[in-house]
This record gives sequence, structure tokens and C-alpha cells, in this order.
Amino acid sequence: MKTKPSSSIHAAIWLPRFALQAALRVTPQPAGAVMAVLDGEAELTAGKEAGSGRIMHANLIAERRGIVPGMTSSQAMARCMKLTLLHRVAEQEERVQQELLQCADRWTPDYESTEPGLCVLDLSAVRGIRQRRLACGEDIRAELATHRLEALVGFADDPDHACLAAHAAESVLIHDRDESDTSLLEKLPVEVLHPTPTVMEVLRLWGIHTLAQLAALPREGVAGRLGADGLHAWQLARGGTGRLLQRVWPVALFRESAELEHGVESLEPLLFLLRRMLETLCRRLAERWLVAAAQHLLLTFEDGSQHERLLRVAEPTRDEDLLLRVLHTHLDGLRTAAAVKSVTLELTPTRLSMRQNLLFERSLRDPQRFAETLAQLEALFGIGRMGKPRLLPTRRPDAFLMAGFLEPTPPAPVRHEAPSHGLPLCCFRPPRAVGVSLQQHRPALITTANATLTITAANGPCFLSGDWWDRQAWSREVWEVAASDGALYQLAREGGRWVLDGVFG
Amino acid sequence: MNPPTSITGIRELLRTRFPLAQEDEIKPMAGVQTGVECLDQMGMQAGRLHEIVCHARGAGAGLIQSSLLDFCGQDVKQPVALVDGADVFNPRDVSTETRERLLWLRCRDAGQAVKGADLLLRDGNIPRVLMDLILCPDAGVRRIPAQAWHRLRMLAEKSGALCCVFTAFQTVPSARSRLVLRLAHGLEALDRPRAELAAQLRGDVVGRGMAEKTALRTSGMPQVLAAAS
Repeated sequence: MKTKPSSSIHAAIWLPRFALQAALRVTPQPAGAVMAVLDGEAELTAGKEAGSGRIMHANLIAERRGIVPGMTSSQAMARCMKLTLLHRVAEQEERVQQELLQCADRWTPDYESTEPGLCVLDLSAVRGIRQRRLACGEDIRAELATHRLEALVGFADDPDHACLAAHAAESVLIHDRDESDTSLLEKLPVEVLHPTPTVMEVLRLWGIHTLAQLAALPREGVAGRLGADGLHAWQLARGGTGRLLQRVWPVALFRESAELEHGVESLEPLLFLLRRMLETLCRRLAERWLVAAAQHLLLTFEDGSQHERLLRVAEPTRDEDLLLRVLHTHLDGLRTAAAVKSVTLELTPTRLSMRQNLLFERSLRDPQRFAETLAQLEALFGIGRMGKPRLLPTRRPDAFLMAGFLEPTPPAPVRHEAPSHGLPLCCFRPPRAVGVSLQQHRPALITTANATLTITAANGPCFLSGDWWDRQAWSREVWEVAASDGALYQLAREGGRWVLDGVFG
Repeated sequence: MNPPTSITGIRELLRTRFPLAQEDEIKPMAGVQTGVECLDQMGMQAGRLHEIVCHARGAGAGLIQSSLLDFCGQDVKQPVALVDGADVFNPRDVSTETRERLLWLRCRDAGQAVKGADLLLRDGNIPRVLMDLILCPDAGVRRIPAQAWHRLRMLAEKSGALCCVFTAFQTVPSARSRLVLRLAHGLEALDRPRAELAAQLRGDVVGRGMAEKTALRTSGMPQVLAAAS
């Protein structure tokens, strides 16, 4: 009895001897060579005897000579002295898997990375695919062949059957669901289901070698004797569990790069290029309902130097004109020694803010304009000379760093209150070196290059030190003095040198 | 009652119906009340340019600056900008909360400070812009043309931002009001509570158009800096 064709179509792409195919891309071998790959990486087995480990995959010629997975290397060498043993290359395996997924991505966004060397695609939404499954399978094989990969493709209604079809295929196999047709199951050994070693051992003892034999066993008996693992293998052999694909969500990169044939020396062509990049990136953002929170610009110059900058926008947006204006403002103030050779622009994606402003916080009137103004101010003042001051966790004088005004502020570990006593200090940056004459161990006279001030009163000394555990250890003797010019100064001695820290006012 | 037939009649009718709309006197805008007596006497208002002149060294301009930075009108946290002409501001002198909404511009000279203030007032997003030129070299401050101050005044009016300039001598011709601080503090002030020091600040308030009795043109800069500049 034939069942009604299902509306869903799944394809499985399988790379047989996956580890061997990956290893061969690193160390190519001549055709006709007897080869096998061991189950450990070269670095891991370096300390052991060369060629130790077990055979993971062997090529067809090696299999014909009796070399099968699971053998030790000595057993394999005993069967064929010309056997070339390779080690697994994890990095290359990852690359091959990525190429496999990229190939799947060209056909449909609905695909899963089932296991290394195997991926399943849901092609139900591809128009007219049922009629051209064979051609599609051949196309997939041809594409992977360009990457020096041999692939087998199986088509079926559900993912599990598609996997079985791929394992049974010689190139492309289309398996239409027909419960009376057990030829596919008869072809396949139970190993393709990857049963647990215990289940595998029991099945071997029972004389069950193919999926057809396993599928013929009664469900209750299998469940009672082999447990959940055995039942799962039985269900797969019977045609799968009708599971959904565990979809791979490709990492979206909001990054565009361009290598320029001729160096760009003026702003206009650079802005033209950046606009084109922004158009592409903003379209990508729109497809995913995202907006840009910042722009990361990297310019490489012909003399090898680079200019890298993270430009934040006040309110996340995907307005190309606005993002370009921020770039334009920044580039306007940039002077370079050489022409631009390459440009990379990356947008930091974020979701549209759902945050409600606090009742007692007023937001900016025009955040986008403010971001531009900040960019102009930065071009005018330079990096690190404008923004929000953030204190460093030290008592060292003038220890702070400048953070961008629009940067989110991490909660301060210690809330610092404004001093409750005394006058604020205006700091001299850097502190001014002065000569000081002492009388009875107290400062009495301050001498600079152009002036001499008599100290009329002095408070102190106050001793401060820090970082004593480090090379940056510091200690200071601080005096507050009233000078003959009427000003109140903070005077300090550090490392035997007198400096004026600032004036109170 | 017959409807008016002339424009004069309409005006008369409107005047009787809506007397409040016809008041010639424009009510002053809500001023900034910081709790510092002499500062509140200035009548600082949004959209105006004010000047605080600190003739005497250590006369308390820093206290006023801290009060204006910390001030939260109607308990609403607003961003505030400090255009620091001589890069002398000490961030430890304000609370963490104030630092989080403070945009600090560390200028190299007075000319750069004017450009920075111009950009901020033109932008209009920051409702309070303080500009500290007290420790800038006198020559640099005197080089700022009067047109630049008038432009800042117009920008402040247009954006509705309060702009307060701290100077060592009378500099801003277009200031709406000017506070001249005269009382210098002694060393004992460093041990007294700030609230007490702020309450005792004394100065002369000079409004626009009022001639200052003693328009000093001498700098209040400490000698060590004056000599260097």
C-alpha cells in the first residue's frame, strides 16, 4: 500500500569518512594510496608512540584490505604495511562543516547541523523541488566537489529518513515513503543510527545487523530489553520520530570591507564608499528588525598605519543619512599621513529600546543632533579631552579617566559624595614645580621662575600614600598654604620635589 | 451689544474680555534658585547669559560652580556642561550623581572654550552650560571679541539654555546680570562646612544696563599663574 506523498521534503547531505576528508585537505595523498585517520589529534598523540590510537575512518582501498574503524593502528598496519596513517585536524573539520552549512544555506534557511559531516535541509518551501530532487542533489554534490569534498545526498519526507537515504546513497538517493519497501533499510547497517555501545553489543549478539532486521522486532520487546536507547534506535529504523529540525541560526555580520585599488586621498570618494556600505548594512539590519547602536570604523593607510574608532549614536537607529553624518563629522577632523587603502565598517546591532525614561530624568531634546555635536566637539578638543569624568579607585590625586558622554555608565562600586567641607580645588595640570624654603620644617617661601611668594599660614602636613605593593608606589606630603598674593594653594612634596597641586577657590 | 465694526473696536472688546492677555508687563521666567543667597539675587534664568566675576583669589567661585553643577531644578536630573577654559576642574569636588550627567570639556585656551560653548548652545540639548575662564591667561580672554559674546547670548536665548561665564575680571559685555565676588577666604575656610561658606559668600549684583561702580580691569589670577602667562 502506498501512502499519500507528504508535502514536506527533506534532504540530508552526508560527507562519508568526514574526518579523513578533512585530514586529506591538509595533507593530500596520491590517488590509490591506502589511508586511514586515527581518532586522536597529532598534538594529543605526540607523546605516545607514533601511530598510536584507533582507526576512525579508512578509505575504500583500506576497507577492502580489511582495515575497519575501531582497529588499533598496529592491527591496521599488520593488514597493510603501505597504510598511511593520518591524524584528525579539528580546525579543518570545523572549516569543512562550515562549508557544508554554507552549501545548505544557499538552498534554504531551514537547515540543521545534525552531526559532524551531516546536515539536514527542509526544502519544502523551495518551489518545484519535488520534480527536480535528483538535479538538486547533483548540484549540491558538484558544489561541494569544488571544495574537494565528496558528498552523498538523500531525499525523504522526514529528516531521519533523509539521513538514512544519504547513508544508503551511492550519489543521490530519493526515498519516497512506502512502508512495504524495505530495500533502504536492508541496505543499511545498524551502525548508521549510532546506537550506544551496550545496545550495539546486544544487537550484535542477537544477530541484528541491518535496520530492516531491527525494525522487524516488536516494540514492547525492544523497549523492555534495550531500554530508552534501544527504543529510540528502533523508532529511527521504523522511519523516525517526526522530529523538527534544530535550525542553525547563522551569525549575522553587520560588517562591510573594501580594499581599494588606488588609495583614496580626499573625503568625497570615501564618503561615497561609506554610504554604499551603510545602505547594505542598514538593509541587513532592517531584515532582522534591528538598529545600530554604534559604528566601528577601521581605515588602513598605504603606509601600513591604521585608524580605528568606535562612534556611538545617541539613539540607536538605522537611518543611513544620520549614520553617514556621524561618520562625516568624524572624518572631517581627521588628518592622515597617507592615502586610505582599505575601509571596514561594522555596525553594532541592537534591538529598539523599549526602556521608559525615568520620571525624574529628562532625556535629550534631539539625541541624534547631540551625537553629532559630540563628534564635532571631539574633533575640536581631541580624544580624552571631553566626556564624563570617571574616578579611578585610588586616592592618588587627579586619578580619573574620561568616558564618552553617551556611553552607558556602569554602576559605581562606591557612591562618592561631594566633599562637605572647604573650598573646591582648581587643579594645575600638570602640577607646577616650585622651590620651597622651609622654616622649622614648615614651608615659608614659594619660589617660581617669575615670582616669590611668602607663605603667611600653612596647614599640614597631611601624608598620603598608595600602591605600596606595586612599582607605581607613591607617597606625598601635602600642605595647604595661604600665600602673600591672597590665594590658598595646595602644596605637595613627592619624591623630594615640591609641586603646586592647585589653588583653592 | 452691537459687534464692533472697526479694528479699534475689536481691540477694545478684546481688552475688556481678556484683560490678562493685554498686560504689558512680561512676567519673569522661573529663575534658578540654588540656595546660595548672592547667586539667587542675580536672578539667573534659562535662556540668559550671566557672568560671575571673581576679583579676589579664593573668593568662592568654585563653591558657586559646584552649586550650579549640583543644582537639580524641580528634582529633574538634567545634563550639565562645564566648559573648562584652563582645564582645572577637579572631578572629586562633585558627587557621583553629578559626574554622571556632567559633560566636561577640557580646553587648552579661552578661544577653544568659546568654540566649545558655541557648539553646545547651538545644539540646544544641554540646558545649563557653565564656562570657567578664571584661570585662563588674561591676554587670551581679552582677545575674545565682543561679537563672540553677543553670539553666545543669542544662542542661549534661542536654545533656552542658561549660560554662566566665570571670569577673573569683567569680560562679557552682553551678560544679563553679573555677580562680582569680592570677599577672599582665609586658610580657616578649608575646615568649615561648604554650606556655611556658601551662605557667607558676598558680592555685588550688577544688572544689564546698570553701570558697575568699580569696573575693575585687573585680573584675580594667582601670581604664580599670572607670571607664567
